[in-house]
Amino acid sequence: MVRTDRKRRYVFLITGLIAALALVCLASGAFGSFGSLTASSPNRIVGHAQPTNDDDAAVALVNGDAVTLKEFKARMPRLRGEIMTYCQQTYGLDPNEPTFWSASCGGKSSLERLKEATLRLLEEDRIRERAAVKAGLHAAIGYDAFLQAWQTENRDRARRVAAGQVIFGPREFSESAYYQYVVANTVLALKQWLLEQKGETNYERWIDKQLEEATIELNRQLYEKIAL
Amino acid sequence: MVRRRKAVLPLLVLVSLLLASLMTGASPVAMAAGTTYYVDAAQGDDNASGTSASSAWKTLAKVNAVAFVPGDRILLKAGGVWSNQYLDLKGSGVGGSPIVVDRYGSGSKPLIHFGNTSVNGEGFGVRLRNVSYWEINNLEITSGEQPTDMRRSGVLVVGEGTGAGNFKHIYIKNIDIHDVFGTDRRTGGINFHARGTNTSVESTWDDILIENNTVVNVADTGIQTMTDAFSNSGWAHKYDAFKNVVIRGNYVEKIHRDGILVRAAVAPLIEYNTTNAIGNACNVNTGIVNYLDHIAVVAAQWAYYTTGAVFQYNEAFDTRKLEGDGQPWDFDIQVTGSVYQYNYSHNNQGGTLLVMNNTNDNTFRYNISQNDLDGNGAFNLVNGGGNLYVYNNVIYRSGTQNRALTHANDTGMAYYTNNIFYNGASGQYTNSPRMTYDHNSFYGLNASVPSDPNKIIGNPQFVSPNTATGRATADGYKLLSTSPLINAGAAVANNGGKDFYGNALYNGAPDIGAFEYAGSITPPVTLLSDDFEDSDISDWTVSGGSWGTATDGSVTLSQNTSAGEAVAYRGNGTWSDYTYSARVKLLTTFGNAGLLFRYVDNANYYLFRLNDSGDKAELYKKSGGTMTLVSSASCTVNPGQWAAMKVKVFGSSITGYVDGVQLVQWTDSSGLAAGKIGIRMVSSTARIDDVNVVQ
Repeated sequence: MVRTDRKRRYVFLITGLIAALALVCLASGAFGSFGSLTASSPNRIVGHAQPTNDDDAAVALVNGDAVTLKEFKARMPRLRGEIMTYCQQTYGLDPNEPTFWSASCGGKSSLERLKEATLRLLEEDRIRERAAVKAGLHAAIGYDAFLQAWQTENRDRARRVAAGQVIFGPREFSESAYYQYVVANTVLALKQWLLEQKGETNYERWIDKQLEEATIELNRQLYEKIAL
Repeated sequence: MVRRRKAVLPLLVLVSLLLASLMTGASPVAMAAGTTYYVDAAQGDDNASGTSASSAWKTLAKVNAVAFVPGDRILLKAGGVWSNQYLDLKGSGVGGSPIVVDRYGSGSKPLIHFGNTSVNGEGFGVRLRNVSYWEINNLEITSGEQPTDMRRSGVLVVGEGTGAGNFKHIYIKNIDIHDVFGTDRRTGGINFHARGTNTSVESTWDDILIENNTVVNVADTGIQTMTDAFSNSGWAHKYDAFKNVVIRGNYVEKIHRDGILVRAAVAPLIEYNTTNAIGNACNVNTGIVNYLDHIAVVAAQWAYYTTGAVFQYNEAFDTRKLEGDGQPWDFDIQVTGSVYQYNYSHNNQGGTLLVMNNTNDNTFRYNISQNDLDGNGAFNLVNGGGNLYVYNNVIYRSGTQNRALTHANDTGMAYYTNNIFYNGASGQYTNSPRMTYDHNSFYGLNASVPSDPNKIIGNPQFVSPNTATGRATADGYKLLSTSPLINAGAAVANNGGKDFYGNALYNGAPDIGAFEYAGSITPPVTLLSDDFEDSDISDWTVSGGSWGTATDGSVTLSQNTSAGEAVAYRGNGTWSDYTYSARVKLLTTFGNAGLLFRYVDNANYYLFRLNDSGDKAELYKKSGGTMTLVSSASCTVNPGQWAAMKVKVFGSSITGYVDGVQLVQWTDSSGLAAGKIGIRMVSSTARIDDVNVVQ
């Protein structure tokens, strides 16, 4: 569901690499001036050795674990339908209009809502992945590790099928199906672990609490540049 | 210019026609030319021709207004979004020249967000109504949470009303369907439906392929075929409305009712699918979607009124037990001659297999169940069913399960053969005249219960059980080379030809479980072998009686005094787990003689003996000088005749055989750990020969 009442306190990082960032911004022309940042904000911009328009740049850090631009772009389209339904039903917007994503959907643009939903999804992904590792489960943390696991899985399946061996489930997972599959299996295993180790019977309540307590460091300049 | 063009054009047409006719003559296969139409949600124009990317149409309503012809293609631009729109496709292709929907360009799949739209009170992303030879590819379809209570399907393939009849070749591939919520069981992600009243024309389909789709967060059913023949007595196709059905490689998750449900089909093939979170499992705001059906029972991947179904290479997990059921696999009502094989299930609340009434000749083989829960026990056979063949499966339980592992109905026979029941949890086995057990492995609690004359109760010795979280780690259910289950099973005819891992059947004698060991097998280590042909009995220690050799066909060890206790033993006091076999001939009527094992001294040993008084095979334990009869079984004892006796002692488990038949089985939780072998008799004379002890 779209959460309109979220009160997350984003911490904005500014590091000593502002100069490099500024150079990149100037060179690419992709960024506005830093003046667009809230001056009173104590937040900082995440600094990176790499250019921030690189797909590997971190849009956010969730308890220190990166959400990359590439990952953000990969997950965002799947949530379009949800935002379209919401903005249509609640504010009467027409998703067929070319202006739909920039139009105001209850005080913020449809695109902004899409990005918020995507960020929320990815925050949960990172928290779940890190918790799974802590629980001793096999879990890939971050998008590159996920992609690697996905490719390994498909290679393994292909190799087994070619060798006349039995596999179960799809011979080749699409990225989206593999994502669903991995998330579901991790949640199942975490539920078991929570029950056995913490006596916690409500996974949803537990993950919400982890989200509330998480430290989210957002690279707002990069985030604001993200478009469909 | 104009006049010249007019003059030239007829000539060109004439030449073209001539060439075309020549080419047609050279090529006997006449392919329909077909036209490719482009649809671009952002840049298109419904007044354009639609026949190139630069003159694309814009809306799906434009597509819906066209009756397409064989060979046509309708391409939607990738990244495009069509909101409050749907595809209601018209026209039919022909054999070899279907009509194809696909995408063009790069980016995310074309998104059809059909919202709250409907046709005759029914919503869908794509509808193929009364048409044949269509292939739908690479779309994303959603409706979102809509307040209006009606039927909705991601892809609806329906035969109904004027134009209903016999349809062919519908392929649905690489479609991502999510967040579609319909009001009742006639709705779903991918939904085939022969619809109508008793007096309507009935519809059927031949050649259906549903492949590599994802269906997530959908009410009611993920993927299904359905016919109203079940409620129309005048319709003929309750059992065969759908022929040549292949459902392959789909991923189905968060479904309100069933995952993949095939009804009224002949020999459908359901393979390489994964279902997860099936049964009242939608993530949905019921404040908006307040009309979902009440769901009482679901299963994950199953058939109904179907013959010859093959379900293979599928995975099912987290199927929910609501008011009942909740199994991954289900031979449901009127399913016959069907097979589940090479499937993997785990974490399903209802158990592993449901078999309903009015079923017969179904087979469940080479499947692995890893910690399915047990809302209905591992197997649940409803009364009124027919014969069921259950072989070479692995049922692994290490949690808190406590319901029965096996089951029988009251009408057919259930044949459990070569299965491994690894009961690290709890739960009983069913014994019934409506079932047989043969060559199964029962490990853990209650292993003594099932009446299997050839059971093995030792540890199956899996490589690494309960580690199957992905395909690769299901290898944990392979057997170690030292497993007692290798070459220990019964041959099963028409067994499918390969095991769960693709190994050919059989490698030597059949193995028990889903894994046919293919490597070289560690040969048993022979600890002792003595046939007395050297007439040397000096390495036997005797106590009581008078011992010597006697020729009785061959040279034997013979005890010749029928008074008091006589014992002879040999071997190593450190021998712990072994199989001890020998031929024994009791010579005294109403006497007794038998095998000593884990013999420590005359006050501490086990004894498995034949007793002519009462015709019994008896298992004794002697500990601290106290002799206790711990198990016995009826056994015709014939003094003066040889009997092949065998005991297997592994850990706390002791099994005794006479002439190849298992007669006693006992578990000694505080047993003697190790000891020698021997022979003992009281007030009897007897001979022993061909002594073998193998590890």
